[in-house]
Amino acid sequence: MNKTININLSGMVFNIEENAYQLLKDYLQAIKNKFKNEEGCDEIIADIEARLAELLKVNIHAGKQVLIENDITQAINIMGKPDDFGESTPEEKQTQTEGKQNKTRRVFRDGDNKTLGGVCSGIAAYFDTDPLWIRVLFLVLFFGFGTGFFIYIILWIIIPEAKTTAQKLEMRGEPIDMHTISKTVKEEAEQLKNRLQNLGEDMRKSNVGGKVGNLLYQIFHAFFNIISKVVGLVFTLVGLCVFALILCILFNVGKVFNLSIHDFFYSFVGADFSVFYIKTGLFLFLGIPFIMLMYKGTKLLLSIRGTYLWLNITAGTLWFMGLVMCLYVFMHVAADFSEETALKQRIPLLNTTTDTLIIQSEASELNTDVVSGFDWDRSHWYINTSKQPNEWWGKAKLTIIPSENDSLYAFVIKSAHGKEKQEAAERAKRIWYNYKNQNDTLLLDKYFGFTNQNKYRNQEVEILLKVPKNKIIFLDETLRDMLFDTENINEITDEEMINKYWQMTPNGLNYLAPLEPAKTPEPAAAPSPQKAPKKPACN
Amino acid sequence: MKSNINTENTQSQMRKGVLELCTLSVLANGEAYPTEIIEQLKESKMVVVEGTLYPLLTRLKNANYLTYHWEESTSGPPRKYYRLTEQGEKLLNELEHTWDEMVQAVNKLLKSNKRK
Repeated sequence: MNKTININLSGMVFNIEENAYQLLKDYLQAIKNKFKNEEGCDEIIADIEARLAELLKVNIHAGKQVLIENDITQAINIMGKPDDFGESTPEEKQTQTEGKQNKTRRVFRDGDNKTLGGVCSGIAAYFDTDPLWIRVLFLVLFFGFGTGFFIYIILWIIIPEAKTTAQKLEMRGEPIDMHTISKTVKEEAEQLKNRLQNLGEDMRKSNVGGKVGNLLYQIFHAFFNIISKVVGLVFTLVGLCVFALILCILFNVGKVFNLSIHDFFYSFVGADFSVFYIKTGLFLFLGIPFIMLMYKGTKLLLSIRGTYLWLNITAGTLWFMGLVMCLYVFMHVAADFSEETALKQRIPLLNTTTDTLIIQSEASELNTDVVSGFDWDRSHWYINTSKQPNEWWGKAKLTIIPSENDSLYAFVIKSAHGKEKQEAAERAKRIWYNYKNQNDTLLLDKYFGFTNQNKYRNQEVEILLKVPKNKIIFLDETLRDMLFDTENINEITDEEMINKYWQMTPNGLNYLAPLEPAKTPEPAAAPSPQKAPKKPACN
Repeated sequence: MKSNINTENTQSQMRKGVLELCTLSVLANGEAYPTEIIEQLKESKMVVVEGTLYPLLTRLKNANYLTYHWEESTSGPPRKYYRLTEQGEKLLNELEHTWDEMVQAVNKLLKSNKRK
């Protein structure tokens, strides 16, 4: 038992089985598509319908009142497939090529199935999936840092809506899969082969330059098509990654040298508003080029045509605004580096009981905490600890020179930059630095520090140790990386001067061959537990 | 494989060129409805499927080479009976002339270049 449908074909009533009806309907629709751009399309279809009615009528008689699938197939065989009657008119040929173009699928927004902008349904149509999955994907991305939202807005802007019927067909056109790609490549290769074969013949003819040019153009064009897809993909991915990174900066995700993004910028600009300003400026200045890169990439990848002038103008304007904001903050900060003041404090050192002064450094409290750092100018490390997230710590420098008299003393030189000398001096004063001098040992802090309210303004601390002639000193291993420009007559590099005994001469230190090992003193190897907190500096 | 496609393509291109002439020629004998025209064309292997003819007839009619009138049919919907207009006859004469010339010229060319 089969369900039948009543149809009116060219004024005649037919009882037709459901599956036969579907077949007939599809056939007529195919013919309609074929002739849709031709003058007299309706008439052609009416004629064909009339003829079909005539052909089908033959199959109806007293013993058989219903049309079945076989009847339709026979009629179609007589009439021919729409593809078979593309031989008669030039107009048809044109429709055919148009039809061929329509086959390759392009991305459009699907206005008919939209929830918001039709982006998801359009993408679903492109990939032949249910819009639900794409929507779920965007929702998931939305909860991941809100990237889904941004991507959606961008796609909404760049993907055109399918408005005409042709665009709607293109939206669901022939899928781009391995089969169609290999087909296209084969066709291209075949055409190329033919052209190369013809080239030899063409050479003999007059217009050689033109022919070769044309051929090169065609080859270039084919390559360009493939390359543009690859480039499009790369652009999109790079743009997306960098854009995500920039979003992280904007929303304080992640850390720089163990400082939060906000605190990192704060250390340079020193005000919450300026942090907002520089972040917005950076977002526009760095973000917009990558948004545009993503935009162009997506366009290349999905063969989206057309440009929006307003989009380019808006992007350009915003980018310029970002540039101005960045430049403003940069110049503001740069101005703050214009003057340098060094505060020099002379510290007397106890005349040691023995001949040998042992110089050590200590960073015990910090060493365990040092999480990250950066190499500002080789020997200069700025670090901060996880315990005090708003503090900056830098490595102090130690320079040892001959004393001009018989006294042993040192200078602690703190320096910083600022807009004016006075400001720089104030800033230098707020640097913490400690040292201890007990018995025959000079225990220096390896690091100096300041809070980020003081802003990073190239703060530095240098200890200038003046050693009288013939005095013997021992440079402990802990001084590694602290020694800076210390003269020695043996031409030993700073790094290798540690763990050695030295005697001062008028021209610098002189390396003494290892003395009696028994004498190796270790009074200050363990840092004193009652060590004072860092902040009260030596002023 | 490839050469087959080309052969078919060339053949259909040739047919396409003379299909108009043949259709006009069929109608020169008097009016006819599409099925009759197709039967004659099928005999001379000019068309393979009926669908080809309908767009052609509509086009010729729209260009005023043909005209038609309706006639009731006992075995189905009313039929369109086509006949040539004056313009159509003129076109037929021109096309016939061109055809004769072309056949002669082509035959001559083919004969003179005939492979041994």
